[in-house]
Amino acid sequence: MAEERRRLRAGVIGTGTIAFSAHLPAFQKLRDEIELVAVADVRAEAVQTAAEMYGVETHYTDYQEMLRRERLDFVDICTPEFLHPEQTEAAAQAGVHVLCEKPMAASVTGADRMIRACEAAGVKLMIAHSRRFTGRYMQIRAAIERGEIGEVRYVRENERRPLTMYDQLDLAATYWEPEGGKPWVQMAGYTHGAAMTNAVHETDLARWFVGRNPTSVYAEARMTQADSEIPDMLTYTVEFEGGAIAAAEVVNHLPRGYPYFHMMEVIGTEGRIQAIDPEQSPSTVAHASGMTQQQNFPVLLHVDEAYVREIRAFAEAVRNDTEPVLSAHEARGAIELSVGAVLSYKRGEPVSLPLPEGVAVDD
Amino acid sequence: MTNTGNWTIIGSGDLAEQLTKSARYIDIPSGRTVSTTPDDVPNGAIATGAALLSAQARSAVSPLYGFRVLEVAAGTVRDGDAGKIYGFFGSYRLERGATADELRDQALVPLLAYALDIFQSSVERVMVRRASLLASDDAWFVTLRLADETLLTLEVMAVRPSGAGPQILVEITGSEQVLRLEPTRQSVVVERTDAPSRALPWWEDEAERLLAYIAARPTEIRSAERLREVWVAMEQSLESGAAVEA
Ligand SMILES: NC(=O)c1ccc[n+]([C@@H]2O[C@H](COP(=O)([O-])OP(=O)(O)OC[C@H]3O[C@@H](n4cnc5c(N)ncnc54)[C@H](O)[C@@H]3O)[C@@H](O)[C@H]2O)c1
Repeated sequence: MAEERRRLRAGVIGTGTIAFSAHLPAFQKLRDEIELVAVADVRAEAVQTAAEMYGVETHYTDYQEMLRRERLDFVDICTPEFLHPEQTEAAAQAGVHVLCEKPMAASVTGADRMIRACEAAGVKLMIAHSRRFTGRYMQIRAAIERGEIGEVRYVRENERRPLTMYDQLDLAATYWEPEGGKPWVQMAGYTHGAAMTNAVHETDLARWFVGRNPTSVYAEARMTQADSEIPDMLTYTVEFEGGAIAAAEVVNHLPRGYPYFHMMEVIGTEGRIQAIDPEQSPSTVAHASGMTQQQNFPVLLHVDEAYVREIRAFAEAVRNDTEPVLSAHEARGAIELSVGAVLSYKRGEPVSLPLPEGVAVDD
Repeated sequence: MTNTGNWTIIGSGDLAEQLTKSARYIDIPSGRTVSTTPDDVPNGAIATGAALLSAQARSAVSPLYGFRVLEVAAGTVRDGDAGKIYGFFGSYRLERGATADELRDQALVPLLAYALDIFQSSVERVMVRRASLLASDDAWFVTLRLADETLLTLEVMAVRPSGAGPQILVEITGSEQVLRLEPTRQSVVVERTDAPSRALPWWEDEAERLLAYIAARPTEIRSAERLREVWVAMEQSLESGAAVEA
């Protein structure tokens, strides 16, 4: 008779948009393997709703208390990136393994703090780069690994979002408004904007597909909304060792009727891989006011098996005491590239990589 | 040099040949000279193709106006229907093996001329990178920041499989509209059991449309001066490896 596996004990820190849209539903699917025993969020109402909706026994408004009391195997951090280093350090000190949402941190120094804390405490750290667990990108990577397009020389990813991406999901909690009236994702004191919030996916995938280290990045950025404090549009070009190039254009606030647009292209010495979402739409409906296209995924590019795969992959590493499939150093590389892009558009010049140690985004 | 009706076409490459062939179908009331050759752009002639950057060129028109969808898109943006414009992404690919000069003359400069024609705000900063992806100097990456903050991203490269023809993609993002234009996408696809599938293009004659554009919109043909100024900044950026304030 097969030995019954112990369910791992997990806790979530931050029950906002990504938790409600992806992580909490994924934990529900994984309930035979992982028990979500507690959730924590500074917003009492959001965390209580999360606990009620997902049948989580305990909820906290202080994540430190959760770490002290719950004997967790691992914690899943779903808070804004500027909080990731301190929350990872706290979990590591409590002997709890850490799965943490992308972007790993708001700075390379922050990413290094996370790596150091987890290494010192002997706990595992994986950054939840959900696209690495998404069918589309897994297929691309597998085709590259099979040698189908030869050596990768160019990666282009254009990603564009409509103004109200999450509206149709009708989530129980939306963005945190730390000072009231404005979500943190639009506030200069809380995030660097598009280079982090979504382009860290692009910087991570570019590194993954090219498989080499970047040597320089040039970026331009702008704000599209009158009340923005940080850029929500970015265009960049990265050069890699050996001369490969990666480029991306990311725009976040397009007209409401616009679909979630995504174009990924990888050119190699022997061929090309391409994935364009609206073009490959499995459904097109014509009506009086135009045409509506639908995808097989709801809103995010990579729900929902991606999150199940990602959380399961980390849980397996914890259970079997193996290295997580995505090393924290890889995720640090994506942060370094994104930070390089921010430095580039702030300085108006190309930035060499790797960045000098300790460089801050405001330098 | 060929005279057809009121048209005088100067040049010897493919584009000049096509323009010459098409000239007989497009009536124009008075004489017009179009030059595709950089060293022969007489006074009053309109430069296009390789002649776009010629020091003698007074007015210039991008050959991309030979594609109806790009002409309509330019109008949409100029008339404000797309709202406040955030960005312009232009990609022009030629077949592998195209020379660095062909890439510049047939892809980069036409794309640049088209973008600058649509956006009149002055260019603030330019960054140019050339790369060798599959062969030496077979790609250009250009980023332009305009004074009104519009971000232009241009990429041209010689990466298309041989026989596949060129591929053009223009994406314009605005507060009211987002335009995605692929003038070269119109094709019939032939699938065979013994060979990879092929797309056979069937878009209309670009040369004929380009002449029709010139004939119909004489007042919209712009001065070539700005294009040349931006090009000089681009060359400086390429040489120095730095972004250049234009
Ligand atoms: N993988 C993806 O594609 C993806 C998509 C969206 C967001 N994210 C990432 O997820 C993270 C969260 O983003 P979001 O969109 O869910 O934001 P959000 O504002 O909706 O959620 C963040 C939550 O953290 C809570 N919080 C703030 N301070 C806290 C603290 N000190 N302790 C506990 N909780 C605290 C907030 O109350 C809020 O509920 C970000 O790093 C973001 O980049 C990833």
